[in-house]
Amino acid sequence: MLETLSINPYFGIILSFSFFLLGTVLHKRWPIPIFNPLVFAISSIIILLLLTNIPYGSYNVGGRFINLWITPATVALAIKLEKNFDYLKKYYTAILSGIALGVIFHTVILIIVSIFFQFSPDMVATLFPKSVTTAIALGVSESMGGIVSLTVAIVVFTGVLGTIVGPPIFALLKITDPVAQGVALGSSAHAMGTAKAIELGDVQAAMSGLSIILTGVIIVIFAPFAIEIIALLF
Amino acid sequence: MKQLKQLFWILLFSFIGEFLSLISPVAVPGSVIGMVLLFVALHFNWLKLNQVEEVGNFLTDNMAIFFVPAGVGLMTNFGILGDVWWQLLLTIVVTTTLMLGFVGLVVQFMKRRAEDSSKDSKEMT
Repeated sequence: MLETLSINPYFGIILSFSFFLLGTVLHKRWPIPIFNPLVFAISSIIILLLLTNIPYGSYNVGGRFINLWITPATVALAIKLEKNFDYLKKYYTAILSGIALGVIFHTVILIIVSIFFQFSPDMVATLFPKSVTTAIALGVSESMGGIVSLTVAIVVFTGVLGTIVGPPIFALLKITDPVAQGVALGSSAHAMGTAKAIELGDVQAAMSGLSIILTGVIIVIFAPFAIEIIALLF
Repeated sequence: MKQLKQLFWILLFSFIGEFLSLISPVAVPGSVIGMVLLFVALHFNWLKLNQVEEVGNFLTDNMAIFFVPAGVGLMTNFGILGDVWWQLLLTIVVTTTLMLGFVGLVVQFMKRRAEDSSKDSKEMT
């Protein structure tokens, strides 16, 4: 009975919606990282499937219908880019060089840490796009030969971490400029960083949203070079 | 009807993006190509904001839920994670924290320098 039910597409869909919505309610009441709706939904569903011995494939019969919407949602980010284009025009040198240098800096640190831990090339490819929005990270990781589902988990964790460490780092390094705060959050912690930026202010929110897209595009442009560097070093 | 039309435009750009990604020699995700194309269309007013805005905002504002299935896919990788999970965790903490601080400092520095120089040039004239 359970087996036939679990391969019905609605099983995966309802499971995803239920735990995500439950996470939303819990996160509103107790705003701690484990109740972040995405974190909560992913971890609860994994635990549930493992406990009931339902394979991922059965869940994903419905899951892939949800997965399908990642591309249109990413395409729709163009609307936010168009709406915040004035900011970009005004501060483009600071924003673009900040993000481009940030991506290079991140790659260098990642390579140093990866050599230290002796990670495999697949693992470096899996980690490389971790600071961009999941949809783009997924595509980049796949094209570089990374482990896609692991990239998703890493991206989510990076986002959660960015929202936690963001404000203390701004205080420590005296980063008080709202544009700088927004770009830092959006470029290193994507949409979740943007959720934190919305709490900090309107300018931060707009800049963070804009940075998600710019970082994504810069990472996509930079990825082929990163593949060469990784092939050379690992 | 209005929402249906808006959805049509977004799906059309998604499809064009996926198609171009397929025939492109460099590895660029179709979603990114679609996004850039939609941005160009909006920016040059070939397509008006109100022709996509409502459905587009619904999709981006609720984007997180679409990643649930991909994230649950992590359970198929538990084997790989076995020995390296703490190293991965440490890597993420170090790289994310450093990048956040670095980008913030660079942007703040460059923006202030640009503002100072524009102030200086005004004072001189």
